[in-house]
Order: sequence, then structure tokens, then C-alpha cells
Amino acid sequence: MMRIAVVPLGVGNLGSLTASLKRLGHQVTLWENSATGRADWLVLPGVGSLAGVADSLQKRDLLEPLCDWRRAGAPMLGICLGMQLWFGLGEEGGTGLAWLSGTIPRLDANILPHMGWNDIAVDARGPAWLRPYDGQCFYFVHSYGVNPEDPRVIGARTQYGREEFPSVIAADALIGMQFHPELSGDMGESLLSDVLSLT
Amino acid sequence: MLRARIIPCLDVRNGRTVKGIGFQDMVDSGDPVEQAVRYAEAGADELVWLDIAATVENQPVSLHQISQVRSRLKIPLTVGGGVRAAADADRLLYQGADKVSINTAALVQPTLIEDVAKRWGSQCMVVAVDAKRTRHGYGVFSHGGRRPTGRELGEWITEAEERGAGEFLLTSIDHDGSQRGYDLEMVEYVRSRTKRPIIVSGGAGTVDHLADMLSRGHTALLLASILHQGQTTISALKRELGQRGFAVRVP
Repeated sequence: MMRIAVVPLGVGNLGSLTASLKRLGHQVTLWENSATGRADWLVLPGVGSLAGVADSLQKRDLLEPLCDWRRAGAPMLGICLGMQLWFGLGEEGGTGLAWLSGTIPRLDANILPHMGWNDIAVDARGPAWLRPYDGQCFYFVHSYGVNPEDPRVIGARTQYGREEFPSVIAADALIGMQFHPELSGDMGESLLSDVLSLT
Repeated sequence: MLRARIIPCLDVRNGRTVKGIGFQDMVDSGDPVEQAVRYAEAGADELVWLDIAATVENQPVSLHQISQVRSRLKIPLTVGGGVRAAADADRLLYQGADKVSINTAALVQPTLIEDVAKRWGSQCMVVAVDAKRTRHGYGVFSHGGRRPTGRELGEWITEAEERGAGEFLLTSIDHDGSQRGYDLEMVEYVRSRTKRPIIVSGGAGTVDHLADMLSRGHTALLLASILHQGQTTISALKRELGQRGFAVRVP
């Protein structure tokens, strides 16, 4: 059992994620202030727009503790918007934290959001824990993706519309997923379980 | 490659699943929580839970059931019926719905779409539209398909998208429950008016009806009576679609 602290970004709901983490037998708390105690993992969930997220974290005194956590190299899982937040400028006017260099471009497709099940292609240099999931389907809901400057942080890619975008990011203690493992059936729950046992 | 989304719809009334023909003549067909879990295990890609009594009979959606189903469900859940204010949407999303579907209330008070989309993101905001062919093109109906609104379908779709609809659930009243196939003409008309995903609803009776829509690029398909009446199963439908070369998810 892991102690998982979920960081409320103030966008999207947390119900499916907490339900999934509880099914996996983890202890789930909300990371509402830095005094919530120790955790093995921070999870940043979120769907929607990046605009205002960093400000909202700042207002709730969560930004500084989050940056401290990152500086300490402690494990963090970012889901969808929670992962996009690690990067720099977004096209929709929202600014990320720029922990990783890169942009957050809008997907090039006729129908947005990219909504539904799509497969991931694990990169040749992708982490070992991800390899069993090569070709498997996960549930996506997003209109923006990440475009990292350093291709070595890309764990897997997914094709939608006229382009491929990174669907898994692995940068040391930062593990990001553009899809929602908590909505991706048994496969998603298995991946979530594998990732959270990495510490 | 994006897979087809095969989406069972649970029409719920007083805590039980029902299904009628042409929005009338309801037949009891089970416990929605158990049914939702069974559908998910059979390979449903997403679920829609519509409380059909909520608007017409003023019954609140059973939040307890939504929270029960969330604790067991590992796929996305859209809940609709009786959402009249942003606070109703909040309650459903807090109980674990991933998206809320708004129909009548959005027609009565279109700013509700903006309120929910601003608060939760437009991907949470499904605008359900019930329409049928009238003498003057396609008309939009409210109150479970009972009342004409005077709105033209394409215009309403455009307005709803501008206000923040992230997805449409489009039901053809003429085809609903008939099992004679989806209303292709209506779907193509709406497709030409929006860049949002469209869940196509009303009329699925055979695997050919599903294949027909997939081959025309309409990849999100709602199923109701074909499943409730036990004619086939999601796994059988997906197997057949897979054999015909369509991209479906096999869990």
C-alpha cells in the first residue's frame, strides 16, 4: 500500500481517480496544504484548460510545496493536464511551470477534443516498466499535447489526426500520461499499479 | 488509431433501467448499477446513464447510485437527466460522473452550458440533443422528446458549441427504439456543423447498422434497446466489427 496525495489543480473532477487508487488498495489523501503529512507519491490529475492553474496553485499555497517536492526528486505522476503543467508555454494562454522544456501545442485534427480509446507505441528508449503496454489502448480526452525539447523524456507516442504526440513522459521522478489510466479499464489500472510500485 | 466507441445507454427511472420505443412505453429491464458493471466487463468503451424521469417527473437523480457505480466502474461515465443548474452538475461530478449531459435545461437556459464548461472544462459538458424531421428541416425537442422548442438543429448545435459544449449526444426521435438503423442523414448534417465529437443515438438494431456508421467515419455509437432486450451482447458486436476490419478495442 502506498500513501498517495492527490493535488487538486482546481480543474476536472477527482472521483474516478480516487476510486481507482482505492480499488488498488492505496491510501488516498488530498494534498490541500503542505501540512497534510508524508506521502509516497504526488498525483496531479486534471482535464481542461491550463489557463489559471499555476495561479490557482499559488493562491492556495500549493505552488511552493509542489516545487520543493520536485526539487527533492520525489516521485510525481501527472495525468493529462497534470503532466502538461510541467512544460512551458501553452497555446491557449496558460503557462506551465517550465520544469521541462517544451511547448503545449493544440492537436492538429479535424475533431477535438481527441476523445476515446487509442493505442500507445512505446519508444525504443522507453522505460522497461512501460514495454508490456506497447500497442495497448487507453482513454484520452484532450485538445492539447506536449512537445518536449528533449526527445529522451518521451516514453510513448500516440497518433491522432495529422500528427503523433507524446502520450507518456518519463523524466526521472516525473512520470506523465496524456491519457487517463483511471478511466482505461483493467489495462489502465494495471499500468497505474505498476507505476505506483516503482518507488 | 482512435477506436470505435461503443456506448451502452442506461435509461433509468426510479432507480431501475427501462427502455421504451419512440420515448414511450417503458419496460423495466434491471438494476442499473449491476447492468453498468456487466456492460463494462463485456467491453463497453464508455457508459451513458440517463435519468429519464428526472426532467419529466421532477425526480432527482439518485446520487447514491452514481457513487456506487463509480466505485466499481473503470471506464468513463456520463450522467444526465434533471440537471437544471450548475450545482446539479457539481453534485454529479463530485459523486464520480466524468461528464454531465444536459438537454432540456440547456434549451431553457443556454448559459448553463457556459457555467458548467467554465467550472469543469468543456470536455465534461455533453449537450444532448433530441431532434426530428419536421416540415422545416430538423427541429429540436425538449422534455424527453415531447415538446417542440422551435429551434433548428444546426443552429442549436452551433450555439451550444460556442457556449462550451465539448461533445454532443445526438438522438433521432424518429429512429429511437425502432432498431431500423441510425439516422445517417441527421448525423451527417450535424457533423457538417460542429468540430466536436458526436455520440450517435437512436435506431441501432443490428451489427450492420453499427458497421454502416463506422464505415462513414462516425465512431461513437450509443446502444440501448438492442442490448436491454438481450438480442446481442457488446462483446459479440465488437467481435463481429473487429472481424469486419473496424478498429475496436478488445479489453
